[in-house]
Amino acid sequence: MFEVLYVGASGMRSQQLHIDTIAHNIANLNTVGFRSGRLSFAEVTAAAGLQGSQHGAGVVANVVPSSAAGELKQTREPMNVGIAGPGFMEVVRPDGSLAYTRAGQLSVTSEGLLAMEGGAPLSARIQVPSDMRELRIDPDGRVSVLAGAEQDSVEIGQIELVTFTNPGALAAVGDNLYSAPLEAGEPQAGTPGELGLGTLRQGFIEGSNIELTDELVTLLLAQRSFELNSRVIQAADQMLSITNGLFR
Amino acid sequence: MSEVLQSLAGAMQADVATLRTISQNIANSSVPAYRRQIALTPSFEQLLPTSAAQLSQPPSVRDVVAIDRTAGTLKSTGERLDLAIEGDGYFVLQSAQGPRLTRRGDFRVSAAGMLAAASGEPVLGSRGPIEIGTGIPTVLGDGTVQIGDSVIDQLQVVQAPDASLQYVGNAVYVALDTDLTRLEQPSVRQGFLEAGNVTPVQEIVQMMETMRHFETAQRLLLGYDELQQRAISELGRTDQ
Repeated sequence: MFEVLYVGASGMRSQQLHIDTIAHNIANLNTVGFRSGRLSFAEVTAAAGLQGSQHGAGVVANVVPSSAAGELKQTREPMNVGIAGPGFMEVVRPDGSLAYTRAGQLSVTSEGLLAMEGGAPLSARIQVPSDMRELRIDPDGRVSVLAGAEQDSVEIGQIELVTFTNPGALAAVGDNLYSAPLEAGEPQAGTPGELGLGTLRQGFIEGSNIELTDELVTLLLAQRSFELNSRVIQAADQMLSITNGLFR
Repeated sequence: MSEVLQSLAGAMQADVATLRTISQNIANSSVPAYRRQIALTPSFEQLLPTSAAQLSQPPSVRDVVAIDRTAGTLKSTGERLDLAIEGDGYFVLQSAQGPRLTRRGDFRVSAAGMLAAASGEPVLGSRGPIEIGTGIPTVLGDGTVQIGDSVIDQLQVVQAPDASLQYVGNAVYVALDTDLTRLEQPSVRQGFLEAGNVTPVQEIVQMMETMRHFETAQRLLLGYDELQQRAISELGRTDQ
């Protein structure tokens, strides 16, 4: 009956999501390969009946990951690998599904597979010898090792990179991993260095792409906007109370 | 006698409609390229009854809404697919019901690899939908879309007379007269987004004004009611 209340509530709800998203972004300032979330707002209208005229019915918002890459930082750690370009590395999650990541902190699983820090092995299934002395990852993704008493390095596998037509649709699933729903488009795999994929940089790691000042300015705006919407609800409530005062 | 009550009730209803447009503006102040809606109340001349027949009908309250077409400010986002038009013009979106115009430029690439609006409709270039694929597009000032060094297409930036544009929500318009003229020299900025043109001060002031008007109408109604009550009790006394 009194749409104003619902319109105001939808405004508060979407600004709440905005503030939550900013809090999540700031909390992940130091998370490797983290992509900040941005809010995409859309107006909702409802047909008012007569002559197809429309009136406002509030607003909806959803979170879209920003596409800007974080800065590559040198760590000189051989198990760190950064991606210079838009590609993602493909890993297998414990439930068998594929996930994608840019957080190149590598480790070796108990089965000897090259994996991400969280334990999800690379989908290329690269077996690392247990007596490995040195691991080398070339910019084009070739992985080679010096193992045991050998003097020459041996190639043990190839890391591929994957891109999507719509990386904005990738959904964060925790552990710095993203799953690819249908809207993201078909994953397109290729050798690092191919057009539009980027190259691998061993000994580097990608920082988060958070711009702290931007986040704080947006936080102020979101907070004030939240407040403004709550004022609308107060006004609507006052109007209802005045209306009720009509009958004594 | 009751037309006083009727017109006061009408005034109060108009205030509710005004508060609704204000709430919609405030809720949507973060929507890119959103245009402020203004609730219009009919003028006194329009409402003034000119004949006895009209007198018996209370003035009807219709919510007529106008759109404030002032452009919003451009803000830098640094996102590759955020585009803004400086000066006049609209981007053209393809929809099942024909072309749609918008200045909202937070575009993305759809799963099929086409440049699309946030709501999913493909954005039209001079040769139809623009295919980006997994490439990294550069958009020049005149709307030319390049991937690497090769030119893909040029964004359609059109103009239509304000009177022919009908607002359909979410910063999108339909041009009712189909003659869209392409701008000779559009000015498109990559990495920028046009903000909505809602100004909180304006909305809050209008909200205060509306609330006080609503309150006044209520007091008037109560006063009139009291007057009637007095009339009934005083005039109806038989003990004089």
